[in-house]
Amino acid sequence: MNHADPMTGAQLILKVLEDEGVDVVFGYPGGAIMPLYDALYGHSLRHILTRHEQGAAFAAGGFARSTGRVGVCFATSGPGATNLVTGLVDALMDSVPIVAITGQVRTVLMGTDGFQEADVTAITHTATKRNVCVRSVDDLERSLRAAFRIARGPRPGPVLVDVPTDILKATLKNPSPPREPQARRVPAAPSRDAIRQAADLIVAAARPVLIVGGGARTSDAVREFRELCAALRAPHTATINGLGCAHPDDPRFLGMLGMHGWKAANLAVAQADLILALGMRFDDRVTGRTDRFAQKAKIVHADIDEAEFDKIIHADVRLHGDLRTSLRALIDELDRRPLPSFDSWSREARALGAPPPRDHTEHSNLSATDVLDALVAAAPADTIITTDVGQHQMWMAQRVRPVDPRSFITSAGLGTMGFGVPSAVGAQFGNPERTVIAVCGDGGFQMTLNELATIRRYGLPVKILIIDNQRLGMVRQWQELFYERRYSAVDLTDNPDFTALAGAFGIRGESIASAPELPGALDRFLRLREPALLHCACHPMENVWPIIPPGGATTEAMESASA
Amino acid sequence: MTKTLEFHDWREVARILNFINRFGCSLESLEVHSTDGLFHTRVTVNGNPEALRRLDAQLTKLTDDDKEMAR
Repeated sequence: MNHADPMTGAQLILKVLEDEGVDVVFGYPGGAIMPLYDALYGHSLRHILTRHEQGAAFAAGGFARSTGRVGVCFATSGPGATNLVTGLVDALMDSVPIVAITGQVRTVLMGTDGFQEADVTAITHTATKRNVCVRSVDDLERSLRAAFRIARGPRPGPVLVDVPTDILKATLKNPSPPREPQARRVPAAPSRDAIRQAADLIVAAARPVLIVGGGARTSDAVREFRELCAALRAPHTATINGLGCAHPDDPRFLGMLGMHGWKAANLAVAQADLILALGMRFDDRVTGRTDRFAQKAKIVHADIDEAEFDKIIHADVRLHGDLRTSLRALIDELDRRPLPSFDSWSREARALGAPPPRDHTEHSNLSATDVLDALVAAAPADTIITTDVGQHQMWMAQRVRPVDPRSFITSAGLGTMGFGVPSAVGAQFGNPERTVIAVCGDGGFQMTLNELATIRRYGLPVKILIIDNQRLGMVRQWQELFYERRYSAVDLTDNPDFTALAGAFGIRGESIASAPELPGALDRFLRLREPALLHCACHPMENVWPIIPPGGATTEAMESASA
Repeated sequence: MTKTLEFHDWREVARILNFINRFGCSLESLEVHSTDGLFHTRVTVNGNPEALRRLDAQLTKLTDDDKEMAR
């Protein structure tokens, strides 16, 4: 199109998306957004038709989490837009950049209870960083470009742009020429004083522990984090979103922290005299009882979001700014100082606990933890693993050894079941050469299994591994341990035949139920360069250990049902 | 706590009310008037100190994002 030609609102949206570097969008059409889909016809922008709008939002999230780029999804008005909401909140909780573009009924119908009208900006007010309903085509470009800037940062998140049909159809007389994406807003750097104070605490410490969170992923601070770990030679741990930041072979890495974290990590934090909390937000699943969390420690908290300081845990020193900038400044400051040796403390911390124990329930069934151990051992090192939510997610988080934090993709903050398969779709589009495996429970898989059709349609080599214990396992575990075994609404013994189900979608499936079958089945599963589903019928009563009881301190982890 | 804020988008008022409710605070007064496309907001909120501190931090972010949206 000649830029002097009149351009419709729909065409303008596609132009802005191109300018912003978007080459793939996930979506689902409908009445109000039809002009945008009409503009897509024959356009070079790749549109991926998911089988549900929630799948589009999760796929955009998986794309964004695995690439660091903004994920984009489309949906129509009313139910199309409301189906995005869970994916938007999921992205908000884990600071994932998404721009959602929704159709809206014509402006004259807004407020009249028109067909497929929903007050989407009101509904998504707290589900997004920001949203806007565009009332004039002249405001469309500014709103879209602002949406991308805000989605990108400083702390990323979802933004929704709602566009009525008549605005999509309206022509713009003077479209702007193509332009580069506007830079993410420059994040604040921590003050020199704050850096010096943090360094003072480090050189005075005897038992420091570093905790890294998803902020290191967001700010691409993995190299700096590993450099700091190497310089300090101190024990370090990670939140679930921080997994992959530490070098997987670093002997001072203590494993994941928190409710189902490694014992050594939790006890080291409890014994620490200094915590360096780097791009993490002290989630309740990490801290347990806050009044008992790291009681002996001074806290240095580094975060891009000032609202995180003192929200849960008081910080003695705040490093407000981009984490990579903060870590670089801290490393440079420490370079000028003699550092104490933390080798002895590192060995002591490592010895505080063994890796997470297996469930010792006697049974002859396939063990979920054996399956996941075998998967981690057999999968290529740079595999991207996505998960659903529940027991399998925690077992996976305890075992996974991602090469970087964009290789383990999980719904951490919101804990959204149904996330695994559609986020794998997005991750595979963002990383076409890499192996992508969705590890799902039988409950979560059934929430979004319709996206098998998306996998088949686009020939994505996504692998799906189902840990099927015929239960909503995590709820069942809590009912066993904390609700006197009153098992309520957790039975899934009437699950469908998952391999037949995969077959119905044209996807090769295999089912195993015993340990001897595992190596061969896993080998066949991983060798295929096409979609595949491996169904693992596992013991129904296997539990995740350790577990910190609800309301408990991180030092009170249970390692068996009798503990 | 009393805060005086300026917004380009009057819908920020709805966001403020959402936050007040979410943090378990209560609204004492809210005044909004518009001048030259800017909405001047003065809000007085009661609540426990911790909740007010969290609310204050969120209101700062709200103002930042409003400026970005209007850029």
